Amino acid sequence: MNLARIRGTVVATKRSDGLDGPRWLLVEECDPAGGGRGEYLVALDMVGAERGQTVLLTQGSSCRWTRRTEDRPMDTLVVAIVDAVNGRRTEE
Amino acid sequence: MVLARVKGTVVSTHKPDSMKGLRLLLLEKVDAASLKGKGDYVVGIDAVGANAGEIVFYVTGSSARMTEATKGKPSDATIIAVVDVIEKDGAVTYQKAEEAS
Repeated sequence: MNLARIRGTVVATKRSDGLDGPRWLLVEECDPAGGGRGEYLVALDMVGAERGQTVLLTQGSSCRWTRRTEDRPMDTLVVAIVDAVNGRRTEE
Repeated sequence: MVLARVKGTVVSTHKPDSMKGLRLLLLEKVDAASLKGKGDYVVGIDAVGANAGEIVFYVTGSSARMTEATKGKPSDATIIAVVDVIEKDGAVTYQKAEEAS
């Protein structure tokens, strides 16, 4: 998994993923200190993450190992909200 | 999923039967903040009906085979959504209606 920060949302109504809801998260990959790396992805939210939070990103076929995403065309999931890295609390 | 802009179409007549009928689109990855092209291109299979100029996102790897259009097909990049709005840090950075393709 990679560390990332929630930067915003992406709305798409014309879709072929077979999933509920048109809202996605815009996430930026970040370093352990929380600094953004300038690389953005669109991710499905599994945990109710909000803007500014540091999260764990799962990518690839592992994304289909949840009940909601089984057999769905999903390759980027927000699977956890990170509270601390190396004992240092993540800032929001 | 990766954000990209549809830059055009790709045509191929010499391909396996399983790929016949699939629409190939030329995509350029875009920066989520500026929506500018990154000069990084990929060919994706259109599973949603995307048009030139539109911002889309696509899935890669084995997930690319999980749409109705690509089930069992040798795709490793499949467009699954046409983007309406991108909001970053509280500001709208892209709105489909405002942008003429």
